[in-house]
Amino acid sequence: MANFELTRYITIGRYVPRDSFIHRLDPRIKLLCFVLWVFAVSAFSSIIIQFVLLLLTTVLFLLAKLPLGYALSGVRPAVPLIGIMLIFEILFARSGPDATVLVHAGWLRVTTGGIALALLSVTRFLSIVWLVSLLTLSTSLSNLTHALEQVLSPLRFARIPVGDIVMMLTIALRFVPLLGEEAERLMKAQAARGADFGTARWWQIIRRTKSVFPILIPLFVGALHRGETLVMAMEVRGYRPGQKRTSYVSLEGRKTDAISLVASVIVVGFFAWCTWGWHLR
Amino acid sequence: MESPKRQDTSNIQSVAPVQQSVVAKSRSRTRSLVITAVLAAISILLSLTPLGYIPVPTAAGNATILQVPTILAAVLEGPLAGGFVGLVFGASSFLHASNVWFKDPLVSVIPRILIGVISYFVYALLARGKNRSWRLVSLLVTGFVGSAVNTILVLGAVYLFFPVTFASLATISLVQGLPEAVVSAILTTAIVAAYLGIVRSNRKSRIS
Amino acid sequence: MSVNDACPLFQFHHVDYMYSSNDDRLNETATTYALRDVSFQIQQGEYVAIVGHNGSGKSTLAKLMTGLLSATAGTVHLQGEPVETYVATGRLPQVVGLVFQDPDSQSVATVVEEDVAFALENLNIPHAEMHERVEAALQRVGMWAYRMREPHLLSGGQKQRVAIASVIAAGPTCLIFDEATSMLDTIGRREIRALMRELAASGHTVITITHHMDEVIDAQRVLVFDKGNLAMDTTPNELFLQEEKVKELHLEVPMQALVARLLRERGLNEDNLGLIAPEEFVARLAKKSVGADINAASDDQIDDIDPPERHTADEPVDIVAKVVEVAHLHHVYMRKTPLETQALSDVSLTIDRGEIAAIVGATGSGKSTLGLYLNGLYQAEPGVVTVLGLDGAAKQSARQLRQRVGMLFQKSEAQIFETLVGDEIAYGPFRFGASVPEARQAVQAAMELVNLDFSWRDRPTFALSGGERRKVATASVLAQNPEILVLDEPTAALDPLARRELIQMLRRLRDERHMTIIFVTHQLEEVVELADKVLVLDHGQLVLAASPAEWLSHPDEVTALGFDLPEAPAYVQSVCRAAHLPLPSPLPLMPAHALVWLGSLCLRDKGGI
Ligand SMILES: Nc1ncnc2c1ncn2[C@@H]1O[C@H](COP(=O)(O)OP(=O)(O)OP(=O)(O)O)[C@@H](O)[C@H]1O
Ligand SMILES: Nc1ncnc2c1ncn2[C@@H]1O[C@H](COP(=O)(O)OP(=O)(O)OP(=O)(O)O)[C@@H](O)[C@H]1O
Ligand SMILES: [Mg+2]
Ligand SMILES: [Mg+2]
Repeated sequence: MANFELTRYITIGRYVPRDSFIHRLDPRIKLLCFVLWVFAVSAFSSIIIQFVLLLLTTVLFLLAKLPLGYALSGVRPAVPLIGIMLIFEILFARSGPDATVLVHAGWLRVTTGGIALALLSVTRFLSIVWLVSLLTLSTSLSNLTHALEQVLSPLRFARIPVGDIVMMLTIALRFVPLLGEEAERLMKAQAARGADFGTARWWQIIRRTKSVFPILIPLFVGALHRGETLVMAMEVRGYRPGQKRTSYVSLEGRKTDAISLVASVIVVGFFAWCTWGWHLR
Repeated sequence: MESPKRQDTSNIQSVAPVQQSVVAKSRSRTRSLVITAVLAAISILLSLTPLGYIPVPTAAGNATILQVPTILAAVLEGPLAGGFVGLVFGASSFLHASNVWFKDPLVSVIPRILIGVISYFVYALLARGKNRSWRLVSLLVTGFVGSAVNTILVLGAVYLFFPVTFASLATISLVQGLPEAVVSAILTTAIVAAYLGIVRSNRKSRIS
Repeated sequence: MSVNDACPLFQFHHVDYMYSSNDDRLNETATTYALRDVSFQIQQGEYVAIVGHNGSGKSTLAKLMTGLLSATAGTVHLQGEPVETYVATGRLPQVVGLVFQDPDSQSVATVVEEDVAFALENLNIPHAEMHERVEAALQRVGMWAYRMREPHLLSGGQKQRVAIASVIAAGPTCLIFDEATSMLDTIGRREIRALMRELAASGHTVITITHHMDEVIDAQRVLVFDKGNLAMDTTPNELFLQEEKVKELHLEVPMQALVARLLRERGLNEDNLGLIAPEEFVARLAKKSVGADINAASDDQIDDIDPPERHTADEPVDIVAKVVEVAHLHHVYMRKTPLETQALSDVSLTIDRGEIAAIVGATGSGKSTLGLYLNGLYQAEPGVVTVLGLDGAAKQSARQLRQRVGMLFQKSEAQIFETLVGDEIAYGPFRFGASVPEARQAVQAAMELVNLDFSWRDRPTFALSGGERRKVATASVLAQNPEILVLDEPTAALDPLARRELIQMLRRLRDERHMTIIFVTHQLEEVVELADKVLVLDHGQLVLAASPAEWLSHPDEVTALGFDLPEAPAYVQSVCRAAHLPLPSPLPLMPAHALVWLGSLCLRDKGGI
């Protein structure tokens, strides 16, 4: 926390306007496709399918005319942790009796199963990073929330307050950069008063926790008070929860949108058939 | 000040009691909506920045406090709010996680929703009375339990969906989960106390 | 509207308001009234200013007017109906709009245009009409070009204009501004004021809550609050006739009122006006001196006026030393991202010990960033910062710098985290290694400086008002006993009396303790009153470092940079312009000096007859 540049970490809402078919896609369709693809990445455990998915997502990313490095820059700080996790998986995997043991020294046991597992994790991880970046870099936050509202709207019949949920999400997204600036200001202000994060001995959990009070308490309490002002601002502008509201934004689907959705369904369906279909026969 | 005129006016005020209750109801719903949204925003902020991690000795080298906004939402606004902030916390750890396990929504999202719900019930069970010290204790317990729920459910889900040995997960849950729960208990209590203005009545400042 | 035209827009009938606080520790606060027995009416189309000290109940009043709070006793009627009815039926936004002080806490959406559409969505306006109205509202405040921006990427003034657009989109007849200008820079404030006047001129009812007397002068009527009571309901003209009363009510006497008094003394104000605008002043002079050429007054009769009085430290010669030296400083935020900003470029300056320096500049010009360098919080990359002989770039000296340079941040009242006042103020001393008795002494001294009673040390911080919290924050910086004090917009949102007290405290700190003081402000009056040196920043560049008198002696350059002249020279300038006189040199900067000059004009004219 030395350079006090907290806002730098706030990567949400980093919409990069480009002229690509992915940018032009109806956000509702984009969202549905995103869900389908994430499902595919999470559900199928065949390493081959995962490789193909990674390849496809990379191609999509390039089609969106977005710089690959931009998505990677978000992952870079995580690389050491990913490494640790991989080692952990390789070492502590529960593998079946048929696994080939490569190394066995004391409690240490490296099996082919463990390595395959680690490889699978990495491919999945990268695919998801690509997909998430693809969605967020090519769609503005506002479009995303409106798409979500419409995609979720069937849930209204189950008496789920979709309007409220989307309103909460919008406000939350609106507040994140604001609170980031606030947190940054607090860090500077408290550092100026001699706050030093982490001078207590390493085992003094309570003291170390208390050393973050100067930032976290005003951050939380200030944010909640700000929320109370916002309640008033919303109310004088006539907001009443649960009421019927018209919408400023209207989304219109086009032919490319339908094609994209159908294509996604076919691809994911094919993989599903590959995975589960074989076993059914 | 208590002139007869003033008493007259209080009668006039009863013109709109029905409307007042409608307004009050919709206001409290807006309020809980916004407070929940703000806590969700903090949850996202913590997950994106180093603020969400406190350097105390654990397996990962620091204790995460990402569960704290979820617990606060449960305590301040109820189980649904807790569930919502939990969902946002889960989604954001799914979308931004550096941890390979969390790229599985069953591990990252579902347990987090449950933190909110369970914390609410823990707090509702404990904090019945109005006594200040007792409320502080209930907050401590809720903060601890909420965080423990996070550790146990997430690692439980990892155990179910990933072929990792039980013993190793149990070790993590102790080495990582225990300090995290302590940190979370302290923070939850301090923040709620500062927000709602709960102070032990005889407290003196250090310099007194 | 047609039916209710006969009714007053607002009618307050013996209104009380009491905040119920559920804290049993402070039962004395639980029974304080925020408003007490308030009655008044506001008619359609009036332009009303509401003033009063911090905590006098102004914001509470605005909330009662918009149905955000319900009176504890008494009634609030809007166009003849209880205001709650409007809220309950959702018609309120079509009648009344409220703009808050903090531009950040009032926008809902992640894009400007959707934020403006929010009220319209709530009113169920059809899609096509909504687009028209959003465009009209944004055009009106001049923000149409920014409709696709995210609100957090706008400047304060721009955010506030969006907030106004999102209120007027619903088409209200009445707008209430709760200190809507207090967090803005000169330009932003001027824009919002102009917008208020324009709205008033186009038939809207405008109600503005403010601590700035120039905004009061804009209005037709003024309500003065004092400790929850409506102390006066009058016109600005009448109000400022009563100088003593004005001061008692924690307000300020504006230049126009001082001139009115001057003319009264000279027998040129028989109709007893409380305020005299520059044009009026010239007109009166011209009328009195029948046929006399007003230009005769342009003689340099005011040469012998002293420049504003400056106290210098007792032993200035020995201790004058450059405590701050900045050379070729650059700063870039968010390097290598789309949001990269050059906040400072090639800034060089020096500040002497015991000097009071003011940093001024438009919003985003880099003032706060510069302040952070003086404190060892940022390490200069390109550039050299030496403070108190310590190298600002060296990690080892950072801690020492933070101790010897106290820094009060923007909105410092939001940075309090301890539960008790004493602990909060003692935090700094403890962090810098004080023992308990030492800390106690430091806290006591600091609390005395800011006029807080030492017995308040055991008070919970959450039970303080905004102004009191600001004092606690100031005390907690002073408790470190710094040699240099850096304050970022310390007077924003304070009432005139509190502002005066703060300025006096700063002057005392310099005179008695030889403290070097550097403060950021948007108020040039404060610069003139307090500063020895003014540093003007523009887009990250230091465009000027001079004494306030030198800088302001070229008024055209000052206004070209977007600043408004301080009240007194601005008045003199307007007089000169109206009377086709050359500007006096030196330009009188303080009201007292301006009055002497204006007085000499009167004399001259009479002598000319
Ligand atoms: N939410 C609240 N709970 C309890 N007391 C409050 C609350 N809001 C305001 N008060 C108290 O009510 C009084 C009037 O407050 P109000 O905010 O109306 O003052 P104000 O005139 O707007 O002041 P300022 O110029 O500082 O904005 C103050 O004494 C304040 O401490
Ligand atoms: N933490 C930050 N991250 C990114 N950009 C920043 C940060 N802080 C300031 N900036 C940018 O740097 C520029 C200078 O900011 P700074 O806060 O120094 O201005 P300022 O003169 O203090 O303005 P104000 O009057 O609004 O306080 C602005 O364009 C601002 O947007
Ligand atoms: Mg106020
Ligand atoms: Mg600033």
